[in-house]
Amino acid sequence: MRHEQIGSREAFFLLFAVLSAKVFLSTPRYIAEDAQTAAWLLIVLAALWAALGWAIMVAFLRRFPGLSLIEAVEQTLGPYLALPVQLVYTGLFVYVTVVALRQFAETVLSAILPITPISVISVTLLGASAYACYLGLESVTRTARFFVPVVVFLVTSLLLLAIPSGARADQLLPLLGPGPVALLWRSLQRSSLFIEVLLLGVLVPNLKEPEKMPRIGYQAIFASALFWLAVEVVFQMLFPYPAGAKNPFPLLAVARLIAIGRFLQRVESFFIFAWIFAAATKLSGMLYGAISSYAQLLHLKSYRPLTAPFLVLVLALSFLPSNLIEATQWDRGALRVWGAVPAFAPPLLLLGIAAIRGKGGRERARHKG
Amino acid sequence: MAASIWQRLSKLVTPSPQVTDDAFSLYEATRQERKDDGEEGGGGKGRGTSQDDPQSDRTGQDQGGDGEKASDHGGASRFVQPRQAGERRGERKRAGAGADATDDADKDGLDAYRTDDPNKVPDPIDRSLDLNLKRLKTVFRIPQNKDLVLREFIISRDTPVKGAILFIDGMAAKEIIDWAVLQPLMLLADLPPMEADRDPQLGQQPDILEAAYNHLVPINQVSKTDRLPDLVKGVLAGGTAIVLDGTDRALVVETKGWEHRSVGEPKQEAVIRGPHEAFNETMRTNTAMIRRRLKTPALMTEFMEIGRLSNVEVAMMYIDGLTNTALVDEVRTRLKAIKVDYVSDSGTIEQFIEDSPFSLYPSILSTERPDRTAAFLSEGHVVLIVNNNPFALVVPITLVGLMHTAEDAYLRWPFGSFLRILRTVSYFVALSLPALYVAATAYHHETIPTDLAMAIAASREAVPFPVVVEVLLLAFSFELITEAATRVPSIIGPTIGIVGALVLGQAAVQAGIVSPILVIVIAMTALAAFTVPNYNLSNTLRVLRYVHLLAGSVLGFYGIAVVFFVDVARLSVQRSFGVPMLNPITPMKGGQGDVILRGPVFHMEKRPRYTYPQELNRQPPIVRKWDRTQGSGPSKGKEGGG
Repeated sequence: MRHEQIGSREAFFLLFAVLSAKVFLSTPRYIAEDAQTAAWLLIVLAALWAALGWAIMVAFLRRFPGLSLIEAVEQTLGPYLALPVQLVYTGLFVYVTVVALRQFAETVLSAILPITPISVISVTLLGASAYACYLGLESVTRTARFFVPVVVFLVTSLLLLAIPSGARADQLLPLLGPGPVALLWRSLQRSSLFIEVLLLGVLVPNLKEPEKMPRIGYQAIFASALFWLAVEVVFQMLFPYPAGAKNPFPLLAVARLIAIGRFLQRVESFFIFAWIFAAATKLSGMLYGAISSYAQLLHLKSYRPLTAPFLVLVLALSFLPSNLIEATQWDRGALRVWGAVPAFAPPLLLLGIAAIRGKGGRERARHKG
Repeated sequence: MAASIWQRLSKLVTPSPQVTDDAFSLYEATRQERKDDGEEGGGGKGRGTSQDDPQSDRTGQDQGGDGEKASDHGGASRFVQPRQAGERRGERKRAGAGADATDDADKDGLDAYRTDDPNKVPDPIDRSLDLNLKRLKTVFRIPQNKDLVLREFIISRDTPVKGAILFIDGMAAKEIIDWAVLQPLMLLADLPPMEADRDPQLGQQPDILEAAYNHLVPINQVSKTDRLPDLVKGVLAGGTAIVLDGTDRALVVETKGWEHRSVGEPKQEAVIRGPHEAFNETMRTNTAMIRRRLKTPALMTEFMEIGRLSNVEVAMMYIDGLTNTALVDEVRTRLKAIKVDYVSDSGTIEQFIEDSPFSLYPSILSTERPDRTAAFLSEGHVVLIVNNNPFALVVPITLVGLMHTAEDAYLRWPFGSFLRILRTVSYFVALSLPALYVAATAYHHETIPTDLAMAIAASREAVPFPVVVEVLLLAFSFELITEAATRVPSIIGPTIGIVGALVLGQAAVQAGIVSPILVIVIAMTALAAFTVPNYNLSNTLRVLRYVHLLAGSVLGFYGIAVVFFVDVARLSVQRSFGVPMLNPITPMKGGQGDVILRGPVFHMEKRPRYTYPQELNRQPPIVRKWDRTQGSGPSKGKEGGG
């Protein structure tokens, strides 16, 4: 496959976008349910767990410098044994895209276009993302670079404008929420919230400076955790967790609280721009991950012919959940509980297998030499 | 009697070959007569038209309708078929009745000289003046072509020498020709020969051409040539050819002197603070205006001619040792690749060389300001000046660069920055305000403060159309006003303002066709659009505004956001000579605080990185060394941007 080259900063912005976009969905709500008043702490702990998972991934990828995750798996297991693992990764990207698409489409429906058919929203949103994807990785990363500051600015101003509408710091107490043990266990499960970092593993051959790959991953995990932390804290300061747990879209609820004088009220429609930019950027990134990983699996020279089939696939799958609650359950009950297992467990196993079989690392270098 | 009438009728209805031949015989006789009378270049009678000229078989092709005319008079066999692309004029066989009418040109093997491409004129100059003149007459289609002036004369020396000058009436300065070419050659040529006049090939014999070059033609630019194409090109460019008998070389004298507009004020890029001169249609004036601002021997000007028929001169300017050589090569390659008949304007050349010809966004900047052009050159850009065109093309360019004006740099930096912020906001207002208005009133009423919503509702009470139709009506009216104001003769220009302001504004509101608030929205959009400094970019906005309007009216804010995302995605892969258009926003190549904001000039130590200049630094890290309050300079190591 021909590899478009992207800079480290562009890669960081893309990862930040795919990791952070979930703050617009129902994620902050179920984190609040999980960890009660210590939701912000759960995010910090989950980020640390995810960083550990990423460290394993980095250790595995470092044995195969310049190769993507998909290629490294094939190098380790051979073409036939590698296939199921590679399909798991592609499937994971598809799953994340499907869940994000459905949830974002539902957000748009409930926030601003209640009588529009969901298919119209899904098709246009995914169509725009797929177009960016089709134009190339450069387009995907550059749109991320362009829109991430806009989204961060809009969300920050939203939070700042909402604070005067009755934010109370005491609603963050008790600090440890359900208790340290429960917090640790749940944060381990919720490390799945950061599995989008896998995208960087697929993009390794596209990085201008592949040696910076580990650092970009850590930076993206912690930067998005910080961003999410800010949203979660303000959300919890405005909505005590029993009330907050009833809001399907927390950030939208926060936006609806904004009331500065008679003029600045009900501005959530303006913030829909942040929603859409974040959604389209995330969807284009994840869709690229799915298509690119599959193209690498098939050893295709170009991923572009796969764009339309994957668009149809994701679109079709996104209609499977019968309603928003089911879609949220796909996310909350499955992906964000067990997602870390297929994401980070194979690298751990593969690391062992590669070491035993003498694949990658010095052996590979000597073989090449 | 009846038979006679029938004969006449049949001749009229079906032109017989005999009639055609008769017509040609008559023509040939007249032509010979003219020749004998020495009639050259004078009298309307001599102007050949395709219906009575056998040469129309060759020349009529480019005269469009004339060829068809020929068929009316000369019969179907003389109908001129369009030439296939690439087929050379000289190679084409003449057909039909005209085929018999061979003329002197063919007998003398001059057919190859009847080309429309000066570069394809057969090469050498002959020692015989008569033959050279015959060839030149064939090349320039003299005497049918009345633009050419061929003046034969005799140089009075011990052995008189025949000579001739050739120039194009209207392009050459006649006074210079009279006083600096003809007078010395005809009256002062019997000066004693000088040592320098000896022809290096002929040895001892003094050569009249060398004498003319050395001391008879007192003009600053004279070139010797032994190639006929050079002579032809020189004449076409406004020069005067001097051809003398007995020498296989000739002189081309620089006598350009056509009417042209003087240097005027910029029409599109006016400034308050800064120079008030703009390019005009004379390339040499334009290059000189740039050179006046960049007094360095490293400023290079390369010439190219583009267009087989137009042969328009294009000057490519860059700074040797600073501009990236790969960029210069790329521009040169793209210009040389233009193989067309006619191209005259920088706007056309732009379309031939730009990276994304199907994109709405321009990827080449055109400017009429020499000061701005010089600034671009100093940053490592390449500039193209096209003759007969008052705009310079600058490559590569970025979207951010298209939003800048010359005045940003001339004002102190806080005001420069303020203007840029204003313009950036205007860009989005021009792009989306009507769409946002439609979306807010049709889908998102809750975003509008209650009092304003009531006011809008009240103002729309009498309007029978949905808001999107209302917007489209007013926007279309505004487009009409803009277009009419551009095309209308200046003397009735103010009428457009009255029509626009009164009829379409006030009357439309009073008639209940549009609401007064919408008039404000469209007026603001129009004002914002006019603040976009680049004409091409403002046209882009003009079109994209309707796309946003459509999206906003169908899907509200969501639709606008999706369209904007697609727009950015598309733009992010557009390039201008290899440079991404969204640079330095993404990818981030140090913008030196010169992106949306404008930093202080003394902090801008580096040139824009996206041009990949050979020398990145343009000034030392600390320029204001005398300024103790600045210390070591706040910008040390700053590369900013992004």
